[in-house]
Amino acid sequence: MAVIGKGAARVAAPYLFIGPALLGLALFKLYPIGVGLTASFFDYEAISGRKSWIGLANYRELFADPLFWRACWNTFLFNAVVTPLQVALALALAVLVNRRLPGIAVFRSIFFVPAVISLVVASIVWDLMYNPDSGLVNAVLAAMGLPPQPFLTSARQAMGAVIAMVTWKGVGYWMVIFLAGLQAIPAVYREAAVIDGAPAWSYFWRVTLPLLMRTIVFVVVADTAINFLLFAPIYIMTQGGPSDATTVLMFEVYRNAFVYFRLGYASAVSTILLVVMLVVVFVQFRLLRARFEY
Amino acid sequence: MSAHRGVLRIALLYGALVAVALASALPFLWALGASLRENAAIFRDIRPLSLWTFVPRAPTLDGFAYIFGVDRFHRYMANSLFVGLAVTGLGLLVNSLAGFGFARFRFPGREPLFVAVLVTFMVPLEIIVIPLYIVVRGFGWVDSYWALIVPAVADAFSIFLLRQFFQEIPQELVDAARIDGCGWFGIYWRIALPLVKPALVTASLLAFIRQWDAFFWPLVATSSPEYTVVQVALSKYITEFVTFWSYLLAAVVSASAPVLVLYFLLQRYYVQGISTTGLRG
Repeated sequence: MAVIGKGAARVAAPYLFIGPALLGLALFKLYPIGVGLTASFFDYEAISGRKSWIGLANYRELFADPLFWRACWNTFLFNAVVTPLQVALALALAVLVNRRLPGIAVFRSIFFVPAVISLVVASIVWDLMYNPDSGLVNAVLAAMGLPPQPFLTSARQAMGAVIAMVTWKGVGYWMVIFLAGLQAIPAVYREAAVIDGAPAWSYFWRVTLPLLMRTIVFVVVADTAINFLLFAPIYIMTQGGPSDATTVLMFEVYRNAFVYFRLGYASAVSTILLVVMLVVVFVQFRLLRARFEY
Repeated sequence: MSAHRGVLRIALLYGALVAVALASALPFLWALGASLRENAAIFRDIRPLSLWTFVPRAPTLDGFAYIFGVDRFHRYMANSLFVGLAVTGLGLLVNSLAGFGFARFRFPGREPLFVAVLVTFMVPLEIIVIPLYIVVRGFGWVDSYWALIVPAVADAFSIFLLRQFFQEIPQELVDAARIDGCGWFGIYWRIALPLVKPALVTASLLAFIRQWDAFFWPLVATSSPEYTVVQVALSKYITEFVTFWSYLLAAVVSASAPVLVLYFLLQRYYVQGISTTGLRG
């Protein structure tokens, strides 16, 4: 029943609605994605913007660079610890606060505070808290009778310190998503389990976890993507040091592109980062699906 | 016996809750207390751990006086506010138009175009920051508000979220309006938009906070103090004020206050928005 507009106007209507957004996405997302996929085959002169095709030269140089391999190892180490840690803690917290208890809403709000403040703020505050002589963390350790630690000033501890801070920052955020998933599980299951006298632990393994699988897959994949691309804490707390102990791939991308102005080379690093990330996400999908398919 | 065990369980539960709450809140409470100290006293009472670790003995606003009086931290906050409001406002219009278009029309190319939108959702900014920089430089926008605002307006997440809500509007309502002679824009503006208000609030809140927290792109896209946004200013403070912790902490607290206030006021929308993203699984 076409009451409005005729012919051309009616055909054009939907495109007028989606046009502005699509133009923006095409220019600032899709085109850069396309360029990003090819930029690593060029030698970019950052100042003039001139570029010349050099094939795989950026990649050859990259694979010969020990710092690149160091960054790969650090990225792997960081992710292998931080993502499982965050997901496990977030799930545990979500289960903990998913009960009717007096004051539970207040606890939920407080647990979410680290997710509300910015990553930059969190990095600065923790940088001060990690100060070996006068930081809060060593004060807490001292109160517990433990010896003070060097944290960010030690090549052996810096990565662990970054991991602890990032975990602290991220857990509340994923907790909220798990909480939404938990609350979508119908109460009938819980009641049936109580009547059967099933212990809480087996209820969690046999009912909650399988029903929560979609949420878990989402959190694992999204968390992996975010952690692979983490930049601010490294930039603010360590600048990749001490002695490259915390140089991750994302920091290498930044340093090559905007400190050394080697855009093509930096593109090669970010292409590799993207490929590795996609492979990891793909493997995660396969593993998690296979484990819990009935 | 079993009542006894019940009490013990509840006590353990609250013990765990309090421990996590302390771990969550203490870093920021310490920063808040320390921002009210004189610079020389920032770390004075940190050991042994006591109430005075967190509460300043002689509170002062020196740190705030410096960053707002001598330096111009309010300028950086105003930049973030301006960029955030501009992106949110323009984004609200552009993305809701697109969401409506995808939800209420059937037209050639709809599916592939929507897939294109989703692709941009999945490739994170960090990965395309170099080519994006090249595009923005092509427009001559490096180091300007344009570089901060324009690329952020069209946003796949908002389009996706709003499309879901527009789809739920009953077709009869749309048909009735069309019979009354209402044009498509009128239907969008007068009927659809008011009906999806909760989604609009959620999408804007998340968009504004994303801009307020933005760091990587503003760091590479701008360099002069006129266009420095709050997170970039903070990251510069940590090297500039390497021994002036009271300035640094006053800046940290000032930069966080707006978001924290917003969070506690609009908690419902904020948390709803976050958990909606989780339902995509």
